Amino acid sequence: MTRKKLGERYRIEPLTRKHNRKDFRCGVPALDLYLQKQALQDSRKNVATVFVAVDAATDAVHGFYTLSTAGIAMDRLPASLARKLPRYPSLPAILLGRLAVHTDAQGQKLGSYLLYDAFARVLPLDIGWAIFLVNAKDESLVPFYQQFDFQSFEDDHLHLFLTRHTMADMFS
Amino acid sequence: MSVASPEMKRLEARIPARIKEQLEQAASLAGRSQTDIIIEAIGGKAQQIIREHEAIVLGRKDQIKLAKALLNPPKATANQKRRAKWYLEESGS
Repeated sequence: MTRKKLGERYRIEPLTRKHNRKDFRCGVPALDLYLQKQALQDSRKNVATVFVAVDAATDAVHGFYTLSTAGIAMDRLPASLARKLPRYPSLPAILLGRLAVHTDAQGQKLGSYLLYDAFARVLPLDIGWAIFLVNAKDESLVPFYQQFDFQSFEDDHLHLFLTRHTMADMFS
Repeated sequence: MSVASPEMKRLEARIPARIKEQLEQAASLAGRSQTDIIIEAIGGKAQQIIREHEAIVLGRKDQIKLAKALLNPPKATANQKRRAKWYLEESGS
């Protein structure tokens, strides 16, 4: 029997109150709690969009990620660099604030799939953004993002980034 | 070998007498300076607020790194391209 593709196994859709959030366990309590208590409010208030991976066979929520916009202050650059930037002193960015996979679904590359789903979703947007940022909620989650060749910062180890150019080049 | 101490700046604030008394009491109980306790308390709170608002505050070195990446964006790596192809196949798009 051939393995079903992830796109057949899972529907990726915006979170609504119909999704079962209370049984979500990913191994990081803060992320579980976020989906259980905060995610729906955030999406209702339009401060973040929350996408869930729903198992097409059981309707169980096996993963989620959040997207929002962010401004990155660029107020401490040397003048020589600042001059070259189009929208100094703030850069428009897309922030992937959280990404998590249910323990029942780990080891199937659902995390990679969700990350690329986010890329494919934001890349064609007709809005100005230059940087795609991810926020690893703690150090243990950093290696996950490093697999995808994100660029790291020198001081801020919990954020990693890609330029929109680099992301577009991935799909070209 | 000396350890460089972080740059310090002065903060002046008026606080209610009751809080000041508590601060003095706490400092004496913990055997620490009032300044230490203030730094610990507001540092944690400020970090929490920043986190809640998802504000991205980068230091100078990191801003420079980001600016340089933007001005000279790297090409996608073979790994990134292979994964993109994998995603497109898995998603059926």
